[in-house]
Amino acid sequence: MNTEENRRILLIDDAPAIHEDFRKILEPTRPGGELAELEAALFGAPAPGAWASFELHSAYQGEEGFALVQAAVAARSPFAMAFVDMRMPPGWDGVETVEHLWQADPELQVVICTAYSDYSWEEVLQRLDVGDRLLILKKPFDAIEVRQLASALTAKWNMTRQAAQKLAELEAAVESRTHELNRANQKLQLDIVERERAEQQTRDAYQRISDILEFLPDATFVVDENRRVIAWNRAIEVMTGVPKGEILGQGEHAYALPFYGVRRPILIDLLNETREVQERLYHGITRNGRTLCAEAKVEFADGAHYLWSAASPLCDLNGNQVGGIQTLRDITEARRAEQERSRLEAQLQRSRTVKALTVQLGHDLKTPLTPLFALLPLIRSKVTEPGLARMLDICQDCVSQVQGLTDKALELVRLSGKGMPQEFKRVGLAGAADLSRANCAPLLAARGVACLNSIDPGLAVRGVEEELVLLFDNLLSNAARFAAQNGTVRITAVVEGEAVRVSVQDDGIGLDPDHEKLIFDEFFKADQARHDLNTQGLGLAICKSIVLNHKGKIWAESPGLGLGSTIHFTLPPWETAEPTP
Amino acid sequence: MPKRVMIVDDNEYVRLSVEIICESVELELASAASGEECLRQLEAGFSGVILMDIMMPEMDGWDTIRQIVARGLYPGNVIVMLTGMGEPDAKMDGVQEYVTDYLTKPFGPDQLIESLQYYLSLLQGGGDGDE
Repeated sequence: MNTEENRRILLIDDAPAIHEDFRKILEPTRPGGELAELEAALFGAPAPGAWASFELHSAYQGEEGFALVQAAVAARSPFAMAFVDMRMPPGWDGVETVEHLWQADPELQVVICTAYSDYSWEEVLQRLDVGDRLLILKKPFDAIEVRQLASALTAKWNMTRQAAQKLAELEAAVESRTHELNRANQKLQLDIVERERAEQQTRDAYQRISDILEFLPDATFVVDENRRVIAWNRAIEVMTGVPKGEILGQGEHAYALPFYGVRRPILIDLLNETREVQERLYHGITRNGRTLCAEAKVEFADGAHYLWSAASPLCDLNGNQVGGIQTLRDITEARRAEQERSRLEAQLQRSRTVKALTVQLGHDLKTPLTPLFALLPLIRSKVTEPGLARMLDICQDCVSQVQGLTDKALELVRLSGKGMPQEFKRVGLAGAADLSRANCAPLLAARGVACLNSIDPGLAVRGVEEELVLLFDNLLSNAARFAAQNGTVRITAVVEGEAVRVSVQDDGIGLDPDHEKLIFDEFFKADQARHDLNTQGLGLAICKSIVLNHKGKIWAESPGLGLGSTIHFTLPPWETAEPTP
Repeated sequence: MPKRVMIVDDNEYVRLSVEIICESVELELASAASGEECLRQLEAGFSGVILMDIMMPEMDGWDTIRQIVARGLYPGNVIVMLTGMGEPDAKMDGVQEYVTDYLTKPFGPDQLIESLQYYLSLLQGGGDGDE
């Protein structure tokens, strides 16, 4: 705000004498004059310098005054007020002049000076937008009237200007404040939207994590910093039988109850413990970063279970631990499978050892058997004394027995050692049986046993012919041995689904039902056979190996002792593999 | 009469048994207790049927055949392997073609005599054992 008061006054009057009068009144360069005395008498002593504070400018025509006002406005030094004479021939009259002045400077305070009226005042007021800017001074006027008008109107101008400035400042302040408020408001709106979005995202993320946790295949639970359960997923409900409703919010090691039946520290409680404490509770515990892993054996209602478990701390963004998470996986089946695998491996290893020993023993036996086999017949041929001859025959039989046993044992090892897939060819089943029937002819004839091969000559299987002949050899020699004296052995075959079932039936001593499975074991002999020096007890074991090599099954049936027995086995038919070439 | 059969076996009783059987039919037998001895006798001029054991210490039957072939001693001989069981043996690869037959242990006197007569006939026929 301009602190200097505006005391600039313009006088527009065509009479130079009036100018002289005004100058005396408003610019009293001679304090202590007549007028001053009068004033002092009327109003008391004036403030020092009060007289000198008006700055009077003169114009003698309306147009001239208008030009001065325009110039003052342009120079940013406007007049505070103007005294305008009403009648100023030949130019504009007072009203017209005022109209122009206000166009140039609407704030200008005006006093119209008039001795008489050519216009009615109503007309003047109609022509001018008077507002509160116009006063009338009737001639002749007193000096004091002029001075007071000047004082009051310049003061009014200044106050109006100050008020306007103040108002402008206030308006600017209000506007600025409003603008700030608007900006703050906008920011707030944005913040609110942003915050709502963030909250929604947080809710979504939480829901997602909850869902993921809930449907994790591994049993999982989460605790807060006070180790109270805050999540308990579906898999752990299934594992423990404890629904989440019963355990959520529980503390004091409640989560240990389903596993150990007591409240005790478990893996999740050991996150910040020393290695020693961890190892004491979980033998073989491992640490991977901040995750602890351990295995434990627990008792559930259905028996012992092996659980593999991992526990990890949960931290906030600043790395402060705010809880923990533990997952458990039931590895009982895997563990049992592992144990079973170990058992089978050990069995396999034993079996390999037995095989290696058998092979070694077999080969080692062959060497001393060779001189016996070679020399006994020579000695026997030279002996004529009957007692000696009988003894030598017994020796010969024993040597043959040892040789047969050795051969069969080696054969069994060779057959059961075939882990590799063999190349199966088309084998005519009836032909293989016939070859074998010829091989066993002397044995069959010895006891007058008839062997009937009823297999369809067109029936073929997938297999190794040499092995299938060996299979029939063993079955027919068994049958020849166990069939009734002058009895019958029947070989038949039928196609059953995807297999060919072959049966070798005799009418001999039959089987004890308890022996039906045992007879396929190595070295098994039914009682009567134990006294038979011509059998090794390996024949059916060899049969079993051959049938297993052909991915078939072998089993025995007998109505009972003395009622004959039947050995059945299955082989893959040729047709199921590929068309007959 | 030159010896026409050689037994190569580290077991003395096996060698003696074969010798006794051969004597019974008046067939003179050369006897070698190892692959090296077999090679020495071949280098000394033996030619005929060689009954060769497979499993012998130091140099086994297969290695002995390799040496026989390598030293150019194979022509004029028939080689028969004495085996516990006719099962395949990784070491026989590459020398099988020089083997005329396999004789499974143990064998009886008649079987041996019959076989030897057959192998000797291969020699008399001028064949070198190749099949």
